[in-house]
Amino acid sequence: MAGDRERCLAAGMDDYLSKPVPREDMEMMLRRYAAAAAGPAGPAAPADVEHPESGRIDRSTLLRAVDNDGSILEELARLFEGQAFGQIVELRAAIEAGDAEAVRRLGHALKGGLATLYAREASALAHEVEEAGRSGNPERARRVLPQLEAEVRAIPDELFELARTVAAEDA
Amino acid sequence: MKVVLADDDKVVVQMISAGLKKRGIEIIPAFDAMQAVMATMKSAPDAVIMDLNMPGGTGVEAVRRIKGSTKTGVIPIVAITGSATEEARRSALDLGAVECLEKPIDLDALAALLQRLTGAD
Repeated sequence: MAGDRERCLAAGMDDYLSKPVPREDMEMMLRRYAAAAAGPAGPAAPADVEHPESGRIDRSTLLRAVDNDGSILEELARLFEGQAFGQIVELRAAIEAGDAEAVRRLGHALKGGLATLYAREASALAHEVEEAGRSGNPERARRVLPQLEAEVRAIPDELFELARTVAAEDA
Repeated sequence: MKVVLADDDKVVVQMISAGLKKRGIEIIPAFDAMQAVMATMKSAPDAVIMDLNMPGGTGVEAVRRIKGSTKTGVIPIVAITGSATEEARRSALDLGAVECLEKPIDLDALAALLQRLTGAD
């Protein structure tokens, strides 16, 4: 629930997962925080949702596509969270395994969802991953992964926030 | 108008479904190639929107099956893909798709294309 997430974050927690927690979501979250704690080489810190004009999502185009419907945005956020977090976990494993075809496939899969949400930079990063796999050089995807992961992780919250903004405007 | 929409990406299905519903088009969602073929056989839609990059190239296989059946062969298919390279576009058209669109899909353009293909107002 979006409300639960807000209450948890407001209470000072760093993050939130709702039950039943998919194993891969938990794993990805723990890895991310472990990497962040390990030092500056780790992925970016959790998204700062206090900057609505993050440039992460082309908001005006997205809002036009969903006809300013906040409930659609919320549904998109849930669906994206449900599939993209798992794809990131799979991607990491594919890079570790040096599996170029899996890297290509996962890069392509991530790109489809990200492009659909008009997350242009993240979509470009996913495209780089796809090309790294296609060219038989999955190791190249490793360089892109932290930034892609940070983007993917931040997008659901940004969509929820955008949904609230739209709902507030309608009220 | 009734359209089967097949994509294994739930975000894409939700986005296109919501957009087309708002434009008065009924959507029958399918999340893999088998569902897409079954839904097309069963509900005789006015058109099919098919992601070509579902796992194992099964979107391509679904297009072949739909086009290969006398019952469903005349139904227009619009292919969608994450990267509409010239090669992807050509193979989609070779398979019998009428058009190949790249994500993100422009919903106004898609709705207009569907109207044109089905001769609806």
